Amino acid sequence: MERRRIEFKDVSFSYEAGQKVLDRITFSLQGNESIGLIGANGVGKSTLLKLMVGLCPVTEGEIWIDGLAVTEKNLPGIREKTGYVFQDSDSQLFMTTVFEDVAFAPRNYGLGEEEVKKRVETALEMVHISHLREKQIYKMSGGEKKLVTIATVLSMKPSLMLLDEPTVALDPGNRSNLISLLNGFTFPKIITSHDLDMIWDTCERTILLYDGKIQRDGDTREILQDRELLEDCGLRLPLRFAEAEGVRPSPA
Amino acid sequence: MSKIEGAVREVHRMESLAEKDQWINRIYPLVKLILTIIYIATVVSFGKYQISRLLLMGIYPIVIFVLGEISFRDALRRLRFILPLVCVAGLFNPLFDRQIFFYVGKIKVTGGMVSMATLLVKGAYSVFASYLLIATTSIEKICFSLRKMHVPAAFVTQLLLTYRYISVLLEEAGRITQAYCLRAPRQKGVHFKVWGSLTGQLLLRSIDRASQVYESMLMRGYQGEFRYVSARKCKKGDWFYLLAWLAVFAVLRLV
Amino acid sequence: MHMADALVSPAVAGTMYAASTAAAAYSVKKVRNENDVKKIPLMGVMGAFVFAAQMINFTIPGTGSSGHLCGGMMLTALLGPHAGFLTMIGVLLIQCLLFADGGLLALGCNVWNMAFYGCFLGYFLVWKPLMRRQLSAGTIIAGSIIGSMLTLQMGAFSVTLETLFSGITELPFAVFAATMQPIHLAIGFVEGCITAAVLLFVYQARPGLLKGGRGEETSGRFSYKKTLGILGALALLIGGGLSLAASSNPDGLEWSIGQVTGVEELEAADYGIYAAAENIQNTTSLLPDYAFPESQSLFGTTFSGIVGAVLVLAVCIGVCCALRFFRKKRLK
Repeated sequence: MERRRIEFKDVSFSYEAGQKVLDRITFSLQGNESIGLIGANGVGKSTLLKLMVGLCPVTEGEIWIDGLAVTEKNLPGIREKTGYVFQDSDSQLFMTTVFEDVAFAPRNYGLGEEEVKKRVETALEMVHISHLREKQIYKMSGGEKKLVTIATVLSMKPSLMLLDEPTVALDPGNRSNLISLLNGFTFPKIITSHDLDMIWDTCERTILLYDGKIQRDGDTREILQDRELLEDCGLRLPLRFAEAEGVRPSPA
Repeated sequence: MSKIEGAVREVHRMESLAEKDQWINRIYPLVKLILTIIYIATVVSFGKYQISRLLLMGIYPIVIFVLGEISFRDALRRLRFILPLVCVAGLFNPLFDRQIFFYVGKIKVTGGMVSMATLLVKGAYSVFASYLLIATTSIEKICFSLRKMHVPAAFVTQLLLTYRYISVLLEEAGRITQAYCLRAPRQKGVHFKVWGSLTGQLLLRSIDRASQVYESMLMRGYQGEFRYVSARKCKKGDWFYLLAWLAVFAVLRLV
Repeated sequence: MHMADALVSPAVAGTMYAASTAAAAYSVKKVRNENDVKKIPLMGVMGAFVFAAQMINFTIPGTGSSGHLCGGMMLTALLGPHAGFLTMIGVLLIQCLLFADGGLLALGCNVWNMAFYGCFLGYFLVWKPLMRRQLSAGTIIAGSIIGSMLTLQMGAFSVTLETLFSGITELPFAVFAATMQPIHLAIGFVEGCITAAVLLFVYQARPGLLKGGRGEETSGRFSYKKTLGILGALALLIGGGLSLAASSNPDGLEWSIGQVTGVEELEAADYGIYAAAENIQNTTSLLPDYAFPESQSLFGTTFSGIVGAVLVLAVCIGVCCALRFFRKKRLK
């Protein structure tokens, strides 16, 4: 049995008393798995990611990451090994140039300037944007910004990556670039998305959330082809199957 | 609304100017900042009738405009905010101060006319000097200079963030007002009934964005202050540049 | 309301820089003591918000013109006086650099006239006392409007004083003030209304964001003694600095004192001017950098002197252009 990297034990969460967003969530991630986290709008996908790194407080249940419980004391250690890619790139990229932004985390972790430089260069190479090194953030396209956000967390050498809706607002070209990039990473990932085709291409395992609970946890191939299940949970089949079944996703 | 678009364009234009790889862009930012402030202070320190010596101070902007290959026309455009103000302040000088200084042909040139002209030249020179600073030095580098001058990190960090999000929020404000205009044609501005909700929405979104920015910082080891590392050190040439200009200013002011 | 560099003398600019820096240093200390790491990003983004919101034109009902938001009052209501003040400085600095609105040298004045009054006086004299009593729609409207009007009046008055002490304009103090104050009364009212509308919206959507409510503990332990002490120290600083400024610009001081004490110089305009000129000549012997004695020098205030200066500039342009031409040629 492979090592448990992430473990949720009976985790519940509510923003307002009496309205549970997440209700007794239990699952674990082993080895270098990639998990796709799917569900309708407002089902608590982002909240689940935020709980893991303490951006939302764990009030009920336990979360363990690499043997560390998510508590106030352990947060710095957990955050250091977790790369979190937010949905909105503009909020994540708060420095003015690409270099400064990618260097932000290594500098905060007290690395020397030489090492910082090396880290930045490696991170930029990994996402193939070394040429954007000195570019101003606001001058970049949405696709470029997304790659930079990934570089900003790669420069921390994370051992775990959380991505919140990474393909939102990307054009098809950038989207498929991103998919092959994600598939190249060896560390475990949790990806939330409504883009089920992307989940199909990147994750072997899928967790389907509905009504605050895990409706299904299993093989991506199985869950994403279960039309009835998906529709019951407010989702639709990935486009590739929808078209095969002759269901047009939009009025043609 | 064109005002917002204009502002966005202006920010972008200044940035691309500052990004150019000219000798003047490469000079140590702190040197340029100090020099600019000293230049402006020297310019405004001239007495109100000392126009001819004040005029000579134009050597500094001329040298940098020409040798730095910076567009003079853009700098002139910036005068449009300042000159009206300066004109209003100086408008009354010719009325009150009528002592005759000299004649040009048959025209009497009075102290008031001279002092008003002095004021206008001061206004123009100081605007040019600031423009030359910002056209050759990015705000980011100016922030690093401030840090070097021991301005507290908390303030510099906040300044950098404001600068970073100006274009983001301007665009957001632009979208909101555009959406408003499309549904409210023939209105020049925002109707008072939606003053609160239109701006308030933008405000709440900004606050949400601030908390996302904060979360993103936390995830990357932020503990309250940014760590600044300047890209390069102050070299001999930078010192020479600073001292040479200071000598020129001293000569023009004192001799 | 933004002062330009040309309108201030170095002494006035320096004084106002010193005063604004003192207030800023105090604010940085205060914000640091709050020890709220979340505050810095919030301040940064709110600065950008004020910047963007000030670009929106709000139609004033019944007129063809438009008004804008009062940044200081809005920031102080949302961030508190210290963080609000620092945020406003950021906005003013970027406005002056990127848009030539105000100037680098006059920044100290602008920070004082707009940010200090808006954030500190607006908060401690208006916002806080009102909100202490009750956080309601009524007090928010009253606070915003009274605050904006008060702080704009103070700001406009400071602009008048700073200009006069700089010895820039020949305009009598009373005339200057009589034009500035009423205009800014109207502007303050409109800005106050817009600010009130926005803060009301925030109050309805997320009341917790507004500062100064009763339940608040943070910088709330406000002592009159301490504030008065700080204000007193700043007043001394400014007073001292301005009198120094005035002594190097005797005409400016003379004008304002003449107006304040009611010396009727306007009636005897010619006499007044000659008196002023005489005064200048008397003082210039003490202050050799003044204009008159050098009129015999190479670049004195004579027609030939001005022509000479223009010629020198022309030669300078020519030399620089030639240099550039040869450098480019060499590069090719």
